[in-house]
Amino acid sequence: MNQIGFPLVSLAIALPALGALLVWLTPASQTRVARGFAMLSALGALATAVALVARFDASQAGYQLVDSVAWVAAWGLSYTVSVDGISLWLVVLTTLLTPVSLMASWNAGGAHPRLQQALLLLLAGAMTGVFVAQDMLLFYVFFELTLVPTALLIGIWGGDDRRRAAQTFLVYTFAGSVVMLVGIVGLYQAHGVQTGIYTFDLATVLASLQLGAVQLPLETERMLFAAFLIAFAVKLPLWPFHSWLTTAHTAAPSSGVVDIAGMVIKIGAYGLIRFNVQLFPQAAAWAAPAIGVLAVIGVLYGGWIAFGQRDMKRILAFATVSHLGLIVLGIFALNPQGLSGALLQMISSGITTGALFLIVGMLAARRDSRDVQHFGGIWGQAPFLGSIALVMVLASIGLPGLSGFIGEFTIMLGAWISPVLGWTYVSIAVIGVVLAAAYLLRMFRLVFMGPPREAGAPLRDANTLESLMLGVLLVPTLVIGLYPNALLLMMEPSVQQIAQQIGQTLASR
Amino acid sequence: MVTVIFIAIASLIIASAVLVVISREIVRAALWLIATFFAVGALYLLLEAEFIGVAQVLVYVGAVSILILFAIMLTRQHERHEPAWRAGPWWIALAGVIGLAAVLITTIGAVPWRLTDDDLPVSRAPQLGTALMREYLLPFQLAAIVLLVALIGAVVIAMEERRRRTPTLADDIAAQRGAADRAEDGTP
Amino acid sequence: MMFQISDVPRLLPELMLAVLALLVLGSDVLERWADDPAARRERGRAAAQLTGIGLGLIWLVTLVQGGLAFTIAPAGAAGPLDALLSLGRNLQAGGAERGALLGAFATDGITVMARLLLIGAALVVALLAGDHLPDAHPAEFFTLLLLATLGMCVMAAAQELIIAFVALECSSIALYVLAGYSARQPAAAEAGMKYLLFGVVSSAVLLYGMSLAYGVTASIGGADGGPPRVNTSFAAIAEAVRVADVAQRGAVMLAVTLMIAGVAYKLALVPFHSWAPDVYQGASPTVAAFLAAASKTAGVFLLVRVLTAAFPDVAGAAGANGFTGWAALLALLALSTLVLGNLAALPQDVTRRLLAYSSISHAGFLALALLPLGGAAPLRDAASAALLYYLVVALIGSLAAFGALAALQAAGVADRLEDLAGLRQRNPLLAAVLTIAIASMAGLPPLAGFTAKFAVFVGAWEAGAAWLVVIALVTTVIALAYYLRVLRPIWMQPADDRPTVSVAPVTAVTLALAALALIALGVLPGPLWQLAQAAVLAR
Repeated sequence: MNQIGFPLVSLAIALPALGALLVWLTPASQTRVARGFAMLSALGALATAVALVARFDASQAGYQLVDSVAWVAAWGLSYTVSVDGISLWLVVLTTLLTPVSLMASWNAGGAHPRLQQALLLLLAGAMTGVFVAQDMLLFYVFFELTLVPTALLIGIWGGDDRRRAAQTFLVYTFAGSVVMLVGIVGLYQAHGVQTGIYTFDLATVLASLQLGAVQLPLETERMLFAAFLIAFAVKLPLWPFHSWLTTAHTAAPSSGVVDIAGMVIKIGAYGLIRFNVQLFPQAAAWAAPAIGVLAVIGVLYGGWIAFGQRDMKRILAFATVSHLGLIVLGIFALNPQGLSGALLQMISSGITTGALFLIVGMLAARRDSRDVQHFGGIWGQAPFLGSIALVMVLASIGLPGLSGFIGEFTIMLGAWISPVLGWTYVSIAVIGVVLAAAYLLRMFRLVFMGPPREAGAPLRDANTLESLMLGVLLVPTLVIGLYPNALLLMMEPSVQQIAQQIGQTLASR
Repeated sequence: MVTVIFIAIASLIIASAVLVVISREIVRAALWLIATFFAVGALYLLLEAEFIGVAQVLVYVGAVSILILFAIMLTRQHERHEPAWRAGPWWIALAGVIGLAAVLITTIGAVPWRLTDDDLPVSRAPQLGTALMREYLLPFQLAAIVLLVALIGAVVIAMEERRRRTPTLADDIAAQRGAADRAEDGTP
Repeated sequence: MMFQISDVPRLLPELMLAVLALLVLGSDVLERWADDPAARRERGRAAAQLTGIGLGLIWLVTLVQGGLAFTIAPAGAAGPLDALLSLGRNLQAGGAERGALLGAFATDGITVMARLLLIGAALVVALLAGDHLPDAHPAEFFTLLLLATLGMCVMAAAQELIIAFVALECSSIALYVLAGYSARQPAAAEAGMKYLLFGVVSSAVLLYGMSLAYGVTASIGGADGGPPRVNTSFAAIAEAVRVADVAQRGAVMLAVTLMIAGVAYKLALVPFHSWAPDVYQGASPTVAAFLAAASKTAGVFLLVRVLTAAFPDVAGAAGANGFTGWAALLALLALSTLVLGNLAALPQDVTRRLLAYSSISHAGFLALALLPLGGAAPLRDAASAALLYYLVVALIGSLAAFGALAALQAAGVADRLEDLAGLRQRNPLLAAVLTIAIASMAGLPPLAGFTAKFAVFVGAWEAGAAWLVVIALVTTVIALAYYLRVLRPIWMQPADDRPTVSVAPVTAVTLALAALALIALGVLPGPLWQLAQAAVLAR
């Protein structure tokens, strides 16, 4: 089923990859040319993503704009990429963050700029690939492809502990994904034996599972579910698999270049929806209470640890752990509210936490420290940075009118009315939200308010480039906060479809 | 009767082979090797494979062993070189050997082998020749290549030796004899 | 059963290898060379070039003659190329359909595949060795290389015990000498000696197993009361195994065990592996590349021949359907090799030793790939194709990795991991080649190593050995940890004041092509998979 028409989705993957190649081939002396290539390809990918949104038919639930080419026909392996309501906005988020991370890379101006930009672009291409791949093995390939550039970005430009952090990151996530490979092979084999069709095509496998053409025994379904869960739980990371994340963020370069690119560790959450919930609803409902407990622990634990930190990047890293717990809670509410809330929160926290990482990077570059104790009273010296930071902190906390609120509220609502979770989970998770307000506002107060700590060097405000980066991130924060329906409308059919499937499965149980 | 002879020959083979390995003096080891070859030839005769038995004695005892002795005399290094050998405890090896022997003997002993008194197709020279030219033509030809490989390998190793020439046993004896002669002459 | 003159094309690659070996040797021996360094270099280069060109030609002839990739259409209208085409048609005439040559030498698709792999490996090694000539006897080096390749090709085609053993010895003796080639370096001499001792013992073990299998064939012909007709062909052994009673089955299993143990040494399967690290480290790196790539491949092919042609009836199973037969033996070997090989690699500090252990652990995957070969037809064919696929990828991967190490050694870079520091800046090409080769070995997609491992996993899973697949996957995580120890200094450590590394042009091109092949086979596995399938079905 080779697709006819313009391969728009493939273009969103190919453009950054092509840009990476061009940047790498540019002579070292031609900094401007390299930057031009990098930005051009990143903006091209963003334009492609916008075109995807424009061409997307919001009334349909299934995969749209499919590009499909047989890859290894003998194995039932194909290159199939497409978008649906779930992946569409994640692609937009990725392509939006790429130009920002490139600008951050220019701004930080470290060693080997060409290599850094090329790796950032490769990472962007691979992540887009993860979100649009509709073939299980292709998904795995892109999933693994995201590892290498990330590890190199941490390992080459990171702080003191960079090599160990890069290795920890790589081994941890590789171990997780290997378990996923077991799940993929198992599912492939089960499907092949029962239907006679050996295929990795996600849509085909999903249809067979839903129509009952493939009947998985209860234990098998749970084991496959567990295989995928482990992979994504490590990738997310869900508590207690979080240690690599905080190490990686701490060791990553201070400028925030990698942190913002890595904001799309949302791959794990996406995988949970796409594989665990969609393919194995029965096992998902069975495991939901336990995963909900882990998620709630993550929310509280992340918040609690973040509260005691002095290193701003560590605060944000643990805040991420906390946010991700909330997202997982939304996913395993297994109803439309929870799912769309989780999706919205994935996008929102990607933008707000990413922006905060960038601001921390700018501050760290100015004062050569990330310790909150070394700052104070910066508002007067850098009002622009301060105001953007305030907006992002408030959005992160979930102030109504900004992006975080909608996501958090919908997740809470979903978890409350969920048949598998319930109000107890919500009432405990709420403590985490309160904690978030506490540690983020504490950080903001210590850094921006009060009297200036070091009288000597006044901090300069954001320059044009920095203002531009932050401005780009400010727009979606406001848009999502004020008019979330723009996103929700397009997610709606896909989310509804998944929820409906789960509902049927649970009813038949 | 045949069994008794077999056991005698087999013990001779094993004993002399063990002596080849444990002899410290390399010339003695070579002599024990000749004994082993002889005993194997006797085993072939016992199997009524006269041609192979005779060939064994002619080729191995008559040619190979003599060559080995020549090689030792001409190339042995003067200084004794003890290789650094990381051997494990001997009792582990012994236990392994006994265990393996037990497995082999019990398994093979339990099998009802089909035995025959008829001539095997390859026991006599004419059949052997025909077989080598018909069914076993390919291995026969390949064996020639194996010989070529061994020859080249020997040349490579030996020529290396020649380049960093050290006194051989023959040189040694000649030197000693020379010293003795000089001592007899009484001239320094 | 006689050798016909029309059988010559079926043996053409082997005959050409023998002729080329004699040519290389003769052109060196019959020429009078001066003894100054320039002349000595010239002498080595002449031998290397003749070998390289000859092997390239033989590889092409094998490709045409095998007829796997394409077949030449039957004679049509006489055109200008007709003479050439009819030559090709004659070459392709001796196919699999005529059965094994003299009952001893199969000329089926697997043989063709083996020839392409082994001769290709020899070609790459010859090209690499052209830039890293041995310090003495260059022509003999290449002659031995060619004759070892010849022995391996015959091994891969053996359908009979005697030719299998003689071929194994042919390649082994040549490899003993090659492993100790630069005998002036004590490490090389030690490597050659160790390899020889282990090899001789395992040959004896193999021979013992063969003699038992030969003895079992006495039971055919017993059914009609006639005299026993002993026979050395694999087909006769298979027939004897089929009619063997329980007590004879004991001898059969003993024979299989001993034969597997004898060949396992070639593959460096744990516990027959202890020679490998010392030899890979001590021998010259080009020889190590040849050992890791070609010797191992030939051993796998011999196991395929022995297990599928002689012992299909004691294949057994290694999973949910029981734990019997040689499948169980291979499962145990795979298990110990994967676990111990990978664990032993973790603490290594010498690059070549580390890669030697990684090569050992890859033999575990080979054993895993051999497991399903005793199954029913469609499963077995898919598994055989997966095995061939894995062999191709592993061969290219080890050639690239060890070739890069050879280039490093030639440039005077020492052998420890920290000596690789900053290679990214000192020589980007070598850094890229090593990275791609190692990432492919680690099984990172989209490189060829991933697709190859994946195909093997699916085959073993379907054969019921899912437990072993899971263990193998766990060990790949361990493997990644030590592979990172190689990659970390290359990419993440500054070069400081270490000098840049220069690579000879032929080596550079060869290595770059190997790395590109690893990428291409990973991104587009289809064509090679089809080739492997065609090779399996052409029997």
